[in-house]
Amino acid sequence: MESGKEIIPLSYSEVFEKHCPYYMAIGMSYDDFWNGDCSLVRVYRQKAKLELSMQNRLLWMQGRYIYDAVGALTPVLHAFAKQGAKPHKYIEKPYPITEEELKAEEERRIAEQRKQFRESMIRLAEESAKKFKKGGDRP
Amino acid sequence: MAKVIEFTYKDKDYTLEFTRKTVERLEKEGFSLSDLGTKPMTAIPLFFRGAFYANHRFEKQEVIDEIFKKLPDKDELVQQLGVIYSQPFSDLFDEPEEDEGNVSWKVGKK
Repeated sequence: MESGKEIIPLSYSEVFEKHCPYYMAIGMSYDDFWNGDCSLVRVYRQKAKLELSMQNRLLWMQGRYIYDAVGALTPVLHAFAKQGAKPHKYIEKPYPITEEELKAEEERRIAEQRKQFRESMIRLAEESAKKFKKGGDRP
Repeated sequence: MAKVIEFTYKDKDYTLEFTRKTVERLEKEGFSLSDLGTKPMTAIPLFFRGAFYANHRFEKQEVIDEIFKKLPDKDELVQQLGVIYSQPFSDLFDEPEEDEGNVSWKVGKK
C-alpha cells in the first residue's frame, strides 16, 4: 500500500446511500430506490440517457432556429446595410421531425419540384413556339 | 425485474427478495456476505431470515426456521440467496442483460 493506509471497501449500505441522491435526481422516488424492485434503477438510468439525448436534440434544434433567425436578419444586421433593406423571411414553419412530418415534407418537396419542372417545360415550349412563329413570319 | 425465490409452504405463497432497505437492515444486524464462509452457523439463518423482510416481514421466527429446515438443497439455496442479495448492489452498475428468471423452490418434507 502506497500510503500505508488500509483501504476499507464500502459496505452495500454505504454504496446505496452514496447513489441514492443521483437516482432521486433522475426522477426515482426515495421509496422506489430503497423499497421497490431493485432492478428499477436500470430503467431509470435508461430513462436518464434518453432524456439527455432528447434534450441535446432540442438544444441543437434551438441553435438551428437561432441560426436561421440571425441569417434572416443579415441584410439589416450590419453597419453598412443599405437604406430600405429588408430582412429575409424567417422559415414559415417548424422543421419536420416526426416520421409523418418528414414524409409529408418529402412529398411536398417532390410535388414542388414537379410543378417547377412542368412550368419550366411550358415556358420552354412557349418560347420555342414564339421563336418558331418569328421564324415563320420571315419572308 | 428483481430476481426472487418463490415457494409455497402450508398453502401460503412466499417470495424471498432483497430490496436495498432490507440489505441495509441485514447489514445493521451485523450480516456480511463473507460471514457465510467464516461463520455459517450464525450467518446462514440470519441471511435466510433477511430474505423474508421485503415481503413477509411479520413472519414468525419459528415458521422461518421450520421452512429453512424443510427446504432441500441448502447449498444451492444459499448460493441463490447470495445472487438475489447482490442484485440491489450490482444493478447500480450493470447494464441490462438477458434475464435468467426467478428461482422456484419446493419445500420438502422431513
